[in-house]
Amino acid sequence: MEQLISIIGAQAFTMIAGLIGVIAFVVVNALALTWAERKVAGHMQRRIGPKEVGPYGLIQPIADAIKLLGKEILTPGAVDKPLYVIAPILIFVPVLVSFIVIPFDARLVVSDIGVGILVILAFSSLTVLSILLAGWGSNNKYALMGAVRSIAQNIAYEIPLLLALLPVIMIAGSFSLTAIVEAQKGLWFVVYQPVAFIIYFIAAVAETNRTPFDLPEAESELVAGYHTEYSGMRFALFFLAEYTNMFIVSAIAVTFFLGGYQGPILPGVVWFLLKAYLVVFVIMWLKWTYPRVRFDQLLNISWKVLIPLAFINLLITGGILKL
Amino acid sequence: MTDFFYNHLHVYLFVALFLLVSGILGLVYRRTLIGMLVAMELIMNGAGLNLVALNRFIAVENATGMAFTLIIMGIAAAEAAIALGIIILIFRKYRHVEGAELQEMKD
Amino acid sequence: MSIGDLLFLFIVGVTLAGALAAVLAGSIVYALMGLVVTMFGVAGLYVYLHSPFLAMVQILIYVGAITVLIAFAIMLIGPQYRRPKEWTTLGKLGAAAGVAVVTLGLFVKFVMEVFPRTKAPAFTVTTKQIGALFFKDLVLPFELISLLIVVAILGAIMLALFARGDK
Repeated sequence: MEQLISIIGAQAFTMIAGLIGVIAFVVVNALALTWAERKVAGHMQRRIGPKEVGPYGLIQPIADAIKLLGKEILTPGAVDKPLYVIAPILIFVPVLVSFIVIPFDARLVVSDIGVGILVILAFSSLTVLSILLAGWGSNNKYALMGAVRSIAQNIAYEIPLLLALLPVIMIAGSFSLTAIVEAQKGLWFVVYQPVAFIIYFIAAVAETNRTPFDLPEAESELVAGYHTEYSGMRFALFFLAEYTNMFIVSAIAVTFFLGGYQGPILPGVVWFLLKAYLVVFVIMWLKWTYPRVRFDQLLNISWKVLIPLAFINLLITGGILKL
Repeated sequence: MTDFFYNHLHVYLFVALFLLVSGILGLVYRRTLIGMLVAMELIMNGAGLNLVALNRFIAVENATGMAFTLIIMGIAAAEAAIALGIIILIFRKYRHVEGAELQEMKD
Repeated sequence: MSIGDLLFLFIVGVTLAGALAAVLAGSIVYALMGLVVTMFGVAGLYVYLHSPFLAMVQILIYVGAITVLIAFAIMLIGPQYRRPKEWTTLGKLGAAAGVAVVTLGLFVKFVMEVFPRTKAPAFTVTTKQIGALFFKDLVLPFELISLLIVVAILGAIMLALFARGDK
């Protein structure tokens, strides 16, 4: 072990260890979330959800994973092969990069970059690019239309997302996520910025393509949106990316508004995971409670409601900070 | 190159120049208007890289080069938006976007 | 040759390859992907130039917004069934070599005379200074760029209304 550290260098070693830990966490998290989703869905709909496979259906996601992995990796004939193959791989890059900067505890960050939140926001635009490649590479009308709708929704809701996070950055005075959590020692930012929290939450739910904003995946309308032509392992990758995105978005909400890893008795990591999964539960709750938003309503909400509200919030915050 | 590569100005200027020359080749080589727009974006990237490299190595007092690169990004965004609007309109009228075929104002 | 060095050479290679792909690729979507790779490469070079803020903003604006805009336009225009005549692969390799030769020539003749090889001075500019610069010395360009963006938005809306046939 010491030899390995001396060859690569201590910093590279922490980075590699961090990356391996992150990948392991992503997989475990995705398994846990698929189980949680089906259980929550079941209970919201007055039924139980999976209960056959293992106690309380806990082994269900592993059964699902085995099924998906066992399927033949089928590439349809008419697709544009390089784009078709790269799209599911590309959608994982922003996920992994975002995990590098999120502080799980005061010193449990893979690498605390000075412009932390900008890294997450910049790489979340790679998700849009990956959806584009999936839609175009599939060589399929429905996939293309689903991709266009999804991209329009994604870029429309990126703006309120950024604008809602800006007042918090202004109050904390830094882009680094650890600094933002440390700046919440006295009072959580959700008390200072309730409107920003709500705007961020709505924009984040829209960004991850969850109901009520899941028009791109509308099963009853567009076959399956931009991942129509994907099956088996590649579809599992898209699925995995969506659930991990949901976790990252809740992690950012916790870091920015709900105090990050701070809490009285238990260690920081426990508090962080508790709060993050609470936000994830609320997102799942929303999914099974509200109907889908129409496409014109979707863009209306973003451009006519969220963006003006976010701007006014930003102005008021800036004004108060200056006085 | 006795020192590390990334501590010298020359590499960055070479890359920026390469982007510029590729962009000019693209403007000349590409027939469709969107291809020409992609080449324009390459040129702008090269210009931005130039400014930041010179800021870091020659004009180290303040961050004027970096601030100007941000302004260049804004200009590139506005230009791409309007150019694409015009291209879509051209497509609707003429059903193609080849630059050489647009000859209405020619004598 | 530390790992930072190797990574730098890799990023430079990626940028140059992406630029050539953006210019010489057959399908316009492949050219767009080459452009994306180039933009990521330039962002990596910005990190080596001690400006991580600018690197992230480059990815945010260029890859996140401008590339998506161009891709939207490509998708609205549709696949080009009548692809314009292009050069053979050998011709393209020749063009790539030509670009490299021309760049090297210009570089050696003009650039290396102006900027002699000196030691790199220390660079301690922070992101805060960029922001302060925008409010002290560069207020006018800042206001002008916001005016430009507003005019571009209005222009785009006018183009859209013009397409629909309204006055």
